[in-house]
Amino acid sequence: MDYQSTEEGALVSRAQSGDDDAFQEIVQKYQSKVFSIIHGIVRQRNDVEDIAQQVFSKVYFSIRNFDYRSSLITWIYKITVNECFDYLRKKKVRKLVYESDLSEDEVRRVENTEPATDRAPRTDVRLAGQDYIVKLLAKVSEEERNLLMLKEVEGYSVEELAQMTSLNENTIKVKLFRARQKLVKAAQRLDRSPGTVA
Amino acid sequence: MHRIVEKELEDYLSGRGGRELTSHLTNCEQCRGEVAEMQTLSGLFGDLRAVEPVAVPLGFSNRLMLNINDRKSKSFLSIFAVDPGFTRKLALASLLCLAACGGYLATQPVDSVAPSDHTPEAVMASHDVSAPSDDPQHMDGMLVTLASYHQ
Repeated sequence: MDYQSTEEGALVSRAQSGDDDAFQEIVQKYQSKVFSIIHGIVRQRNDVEDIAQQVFSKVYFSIRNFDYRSSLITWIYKITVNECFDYLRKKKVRKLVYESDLSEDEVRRVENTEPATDRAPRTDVRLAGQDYIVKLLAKVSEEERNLLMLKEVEGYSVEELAQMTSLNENTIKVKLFRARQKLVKAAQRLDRSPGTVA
Repeated sequence: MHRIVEKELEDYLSGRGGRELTSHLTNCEQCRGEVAEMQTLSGLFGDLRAVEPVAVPLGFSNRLMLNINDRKSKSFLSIFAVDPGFTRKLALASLLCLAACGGYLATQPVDSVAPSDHTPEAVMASHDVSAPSDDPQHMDGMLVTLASYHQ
């Protein structure tokens, strides 16, 4: 079934023709998802709403450019992830916690992704892991980042990704493989660079 | 790295098969090392999932629409707004133009402006007495000029 002729496709068409009620329906439908994505990446609760406002403003002003090649949520997801990484780049709010806040033991655990023991607070290790992966994701292209996030964080399969992006499965596999290779290289460079422990 | 890794990596990482790759990895040390690194990084993505459901703040949608309307009105007003850079360029161009005109006028000789002397003395001086005119109309005209002159 053609996406444009689905219920959601009709909703998008209405929003594209300037119907604010249709846009508000889209906001109601996806706001919770957008908040979760932002919170997962950015973590600063105070800034989550600002970024979400920015995301939906972009959706509002560029919905006319939505071409139905992907689903609406894929498109919104992409905008959200890009907005989060823009925010992190601009504000540089993420401070490395590795050296300052973590003990050597905890750092080693992050490196090896060992399960946290009772001695170390689980949240600190999680935050360090979050910081580390966000830093690495900043080193790959927008497309690669989105694919990795959809696959690893949202749990979509290669088949689903192929459907969502209108690419074939082999292309998705190759793109994911190259993205992972870049991540590994970025991790090696980061580990070697002075001043970083992870 | 061997082609088999590219082909089966996603299935292998998600634990849904990749048997061919598994047997390849037992024999290929180089691929084994790289895939292990990829697997480690793959494990870290879990930290990007929100641990608890994030509540959408009350009134978010209203604030969003206000923000959007505000941006819309600003972008409408911006049509009439003058770019400060353009204003500076315009001012500079005007000054240069003024300076060029001033320079041109300053270089012109003062006597190039014709004197507008219409006094009877000037009229008389310009009249060539050595060549008397036989034209009676010309003579009458001169008499009228002299008669109508009041000092």
